[in-house]
Amino acid sequence: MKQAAPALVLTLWGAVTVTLPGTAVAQENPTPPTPPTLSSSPPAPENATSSDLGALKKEVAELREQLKQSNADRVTSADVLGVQTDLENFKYQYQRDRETKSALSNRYLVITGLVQTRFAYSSDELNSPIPANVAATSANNPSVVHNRQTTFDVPLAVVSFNGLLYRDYEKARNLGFNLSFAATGGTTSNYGLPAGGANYNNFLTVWDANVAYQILPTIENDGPRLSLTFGQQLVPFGLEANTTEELRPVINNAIFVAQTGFNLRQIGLVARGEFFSQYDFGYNYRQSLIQAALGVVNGNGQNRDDENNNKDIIARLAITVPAEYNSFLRELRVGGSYYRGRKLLTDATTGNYIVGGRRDRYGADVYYNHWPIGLTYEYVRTQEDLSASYDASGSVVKKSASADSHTATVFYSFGQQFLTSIRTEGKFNDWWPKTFQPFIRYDRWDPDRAVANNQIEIWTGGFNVFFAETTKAQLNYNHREQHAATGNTNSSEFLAQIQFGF
Amino acid sequence: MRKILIGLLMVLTPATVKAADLPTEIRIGVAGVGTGNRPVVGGAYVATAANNGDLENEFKKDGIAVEYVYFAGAGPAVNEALANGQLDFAYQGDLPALVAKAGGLQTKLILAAGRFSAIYIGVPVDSPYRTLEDLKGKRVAVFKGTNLQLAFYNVLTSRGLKDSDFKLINMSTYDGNAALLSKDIDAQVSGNDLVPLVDRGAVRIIYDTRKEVKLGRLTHVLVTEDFEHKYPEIVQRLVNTLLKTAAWESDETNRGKVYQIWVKSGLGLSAWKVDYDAFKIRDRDSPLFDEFYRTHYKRLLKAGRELKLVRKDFDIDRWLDPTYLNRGLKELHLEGVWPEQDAEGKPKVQLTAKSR
Repeated sequence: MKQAAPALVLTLWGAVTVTLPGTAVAQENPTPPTPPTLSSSPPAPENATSSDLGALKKEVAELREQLKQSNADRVTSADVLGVQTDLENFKYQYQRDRETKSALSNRYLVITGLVQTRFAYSSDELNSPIPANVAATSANNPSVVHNRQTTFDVPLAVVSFNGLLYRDYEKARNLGFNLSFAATGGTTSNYGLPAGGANYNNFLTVWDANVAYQILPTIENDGPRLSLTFGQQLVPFGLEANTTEELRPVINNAIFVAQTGFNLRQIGLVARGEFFSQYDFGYNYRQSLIQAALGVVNGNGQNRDDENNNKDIIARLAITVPAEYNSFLRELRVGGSYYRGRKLLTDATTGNYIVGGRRDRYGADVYYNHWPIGLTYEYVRTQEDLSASYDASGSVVKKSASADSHTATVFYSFGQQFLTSIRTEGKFNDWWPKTFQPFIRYDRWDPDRAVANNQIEIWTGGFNVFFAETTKAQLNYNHREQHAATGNTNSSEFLAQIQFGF
Repeated sequence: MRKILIGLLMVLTPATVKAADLPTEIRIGVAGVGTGNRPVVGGAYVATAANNGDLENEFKKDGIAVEYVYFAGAGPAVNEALANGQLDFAYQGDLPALVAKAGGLQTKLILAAGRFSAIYIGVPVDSPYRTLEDLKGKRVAVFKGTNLQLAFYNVLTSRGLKDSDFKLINMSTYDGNAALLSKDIDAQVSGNDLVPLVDRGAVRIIYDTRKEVKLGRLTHVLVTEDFEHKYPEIVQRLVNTLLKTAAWESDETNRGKVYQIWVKSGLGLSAWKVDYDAFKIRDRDSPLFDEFYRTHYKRLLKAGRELKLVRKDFDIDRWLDPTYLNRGLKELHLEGVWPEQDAEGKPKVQLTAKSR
């Protein structure tokens, strides 16, 4: 339907008042066009000339034409019926689609997914069992591998469900849930071995399964936060183990993540908080001076009950340097993490329990992400009892080791993928800020600090291309050096991966 | 060798200078989007110029592309993009620009773009609340960080109220509209985007500032100091082009055409008529840094400081740079088009025949 333009009221000789529809002049209370109205008025002056009358006739004819046009623009009953029909059609179609073509849920629910597809090349010919001193290249190695250098791989496929079990409209102290299933590969992969699984196939396993309650209000962007997460979840240790696939620039995790078990979810209860928070409404930028987490977990990995009565404890504290948005110090954070674990040490031959042992980890990290550059560094040290046995006198002898790790990553972004403002830009099409991100990572793992020449070093150079909202292409070149007393072994791998989400 | 280097420099220098004289692209941030996140807005000569392609036509002959970037995150999103070097110019409201300037963002205001912009407070049509005072203790949504927040604060202050009298919830314009329709909130403080909800019979306006111009919002066009330093002539051409559009828009005989352009934002005609019919467009969209504009910006800076949103004071008179505006008015012979307004928003001088 067309909108009516305001009307202009003309008075001719003070005798005839005519309303002209469609004339654009501002009025305090505009009304739809109305037909010309003739007021009860005295007749035309007697001294009007014939030319005046002619002009008047011409003007009246023009007004009639405009009135005719105006009437053509009027809404008719047929128009209304047409709109009604369209509305009924829409209601029918909507109801039908909802009944037959829509997924329904009892509660507010968002379904997402993430899949990685990969091509891998190894400089060495791989033969089973793949030795530890060369790059693995794949997460799904068959039990028998012979002279393999290239392979295609789907190392990860995840489907996630998350939503709200209870929504607090007043304060947003919401009760939410997360449930995700992952098909992934072996113990040395980024994501860990499914319970009871083997290293040559994808098994669908429960990944996240938890409920999270916001103890403090989250209705506003400013103010502190405190949440409790109960169930299976990632533990808040350091940077690398907590970085999601969407954000991590490197395809492979740092070595320590798998070696320390932080690639596995844990079952337990974790409190996470942010305190002394500020929100700069001028930039929609939130920063919290202190971020802290404290939790207790089984320590036995995902989808497994505890093996003993000792619960592992995890604690993390991070401090973000207070800085205004424009400051170069924005997003500079230092953190420390502590994990105290207890494990069972068993007899190597019988598998019987011998004694309890330590499984402790310490971490320190620095994070600086100031678009377009980013820098992270993480140091991790472990103190762990690896095995136990009985000596000749029957006393228990433990074998222990202390490992450590250094991981440093530098990246640079060409493009606005990581700017919230640009991502929410108004566009007609499926536009996304294409972003190119080269990076370099140095990763060093020393499995036993008491032993010389046993470290692994990996230099990774890579390039990420973010070309759609949830999709990126990744190229990684890994140069791996295995130190040994007999001489170092070098190997390298090339990985090309598309990661897409929905 | 040295001669060769000097020769090379002589050959290369003119080309380098020429390249530096002209940017390849002009990026203009717009603090808002149209209905459904569409990259179209209304309610200003900047919107009219974008619709007409005025700036694109002006710079086409030099091969300079003009890109408008529309931000659903409004002024704060514009600030983020400015701070990260993604924009050269911006059309935005008062509070975000004040926050950014106080925080060290190097910008200059080169044109006023709007004044007297009213805020409206809407409640569900069957709400028992009839006045602003009735909303004490109730859930009121406002898009924090935008000029709505500061205008609302001034409204409260003028009526002896405090923001702590209400449960203020931060919501974007369209999120707030949806929450108001679903009655998840008791009221929304917003702009003329509430008018379509009134037309649908879902919302009732209980208060607006159309008749209290000193409580209205300001908008402007700003340039980054970096861009202005590099390309002052481009800045002048942009200002002149926008002044021509503003003059056309300020001609009352074009009001209908102006509305036709603005409805492309998705806000219907009634939204613009409700918001603009009480004013002459030339008064609402005056580009002048006159007494009213300067005084009102100082009032808003003070309010922003009181709200602790603006971290420090700065010199408004230095920030508002009329250099390009005055030159443009003179070159285009547009000096008499927009009447100067006093601190109260009333015309200071008798209008010329041209401006009438």
